[in-house]
Amino acid sequence: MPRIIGIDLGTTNSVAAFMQGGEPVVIPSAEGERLVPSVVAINKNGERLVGRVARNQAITNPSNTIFSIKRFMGRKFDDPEVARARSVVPYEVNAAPNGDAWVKMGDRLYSPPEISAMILTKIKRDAEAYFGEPVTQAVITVPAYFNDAQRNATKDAGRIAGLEVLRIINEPTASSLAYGLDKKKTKLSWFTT
Amino acid sequence: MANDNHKPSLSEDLSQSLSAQETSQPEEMPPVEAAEISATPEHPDVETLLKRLEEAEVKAAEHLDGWQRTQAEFINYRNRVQRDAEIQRATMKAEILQKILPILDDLDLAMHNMPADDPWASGIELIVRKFHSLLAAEGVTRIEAEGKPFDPNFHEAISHEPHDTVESGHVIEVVRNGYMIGERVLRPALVRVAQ
Repeated sequence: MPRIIGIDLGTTNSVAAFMQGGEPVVIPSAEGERLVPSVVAINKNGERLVGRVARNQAITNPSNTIFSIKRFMGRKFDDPEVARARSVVPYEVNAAPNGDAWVKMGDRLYSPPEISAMILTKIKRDAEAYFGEPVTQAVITVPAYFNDAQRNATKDAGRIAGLEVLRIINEPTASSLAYGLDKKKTKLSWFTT
Repeated sequence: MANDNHKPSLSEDLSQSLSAQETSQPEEMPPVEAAEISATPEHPDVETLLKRLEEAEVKAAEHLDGWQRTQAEFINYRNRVQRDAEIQRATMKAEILQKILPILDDLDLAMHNMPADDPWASGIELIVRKFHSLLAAEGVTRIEAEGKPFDPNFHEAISHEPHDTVESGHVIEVVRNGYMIGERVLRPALVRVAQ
C-alpha cells in the first residue's frame, strides 16, 4: 500500500506527518527539525532555497525571499486582503493576466501555487528520504474559511509537487481528529442531547 | 536422515507404514499392483493420485513462496527498525543538546566578563572548559563564521548592514555561536552580514 502523508501547509511553518500504529508521527525535515519554514528564495547565484535555509538568508535578500504565500493563495490582485498583505511584504506582488495575485522572485513572476509547490516538494523529498521509498499521495489542511478557488490552488500546488492530493481537510477538523473527537463518542453525549 | 549409508526413501517409508497398517488390520490388504486395483474412495486410481500430487506440489510451491516473501519482509522490517532506532537516538541527542546550548551561551558570556585575579572565577572557568570538552567528545563542533562568506546553510542573518572593512556578503560579527553535530546543524550561527 502506498504511503500517505498529511501536510499542514502553514502561513509561517509547515509540518508533515504519517500514521504509525494508529498514531500520527511527525516526519523530521532533512535539517532534523519538525517544522519547515514556509519560505522560498532565490539567491544571487540563481539557486533556489526552500525552508530553513531560505529563512536564514531572508534578511540579506528581502526582495527575492517569499514568505506568507498562503495569504495570496487563490486570490485576485484587487482583493482587499492582497492589498493588506502587499503593504507588509518586502517582495513584489503583481497581477497575472487572469487577474490573480502573483509574486516576483528572481527575474520572473510565480503563481502562489508554484511557490507552495516548492515547499511541498521539499516536504515530499524529506519524507522520501525518511521512508526510503517514494511518496506520491498526501492529505493537506487549509483554513476553514478558504473558498473554492483557494482550495483548488492548494490542490494545484500538490499536483505541481508531484503529490496526488487525496483530500483537503479544514484545519479545525484536522485538529479535532488529532484530539480524538472521532473516537471519544461517549464524552460528547452532552453535545447531541 | 543424516545417515549417508542408508537414506530411507519415500517408497520405503510408505511400505513400512503399509506393513504397519497390515498388522493392525485383521483383513489382508490386496497386493499393491496398480492395474489390478479398482478405484474406490479408499483406493483412488493413479490418475486421481497424480492429480492430488500435482495439487500438493502447487500448494507446496505457493507456501514456499509465501514463506520466502515473509522472510524477506521480516529482514526489511528488522533493517528498518534498526535504522529507525539509530535516527531516533540521533534526534533525541540533538534535541537535548539544543536545549543545553542556551546555557552554554550564558556561561560563555559570563566568562567574557570574568573578574581578573579571582581564584573562584578561575575555578568556574575550569568547569566551563570541562563542559566544552564534553560537547566535543559527543561530536559537537562550533560553526566558524567570523569573517567568512555568509552561508545560509550554517548561518542565520539577523542584520544586513553597510560595513567599511568587511567584504560584502561576508559575516561581520557572530552574535550567537552556531553548533553542529557531525554533518547536522544543531543551531545555525546568528550573524550580522555586510551589505
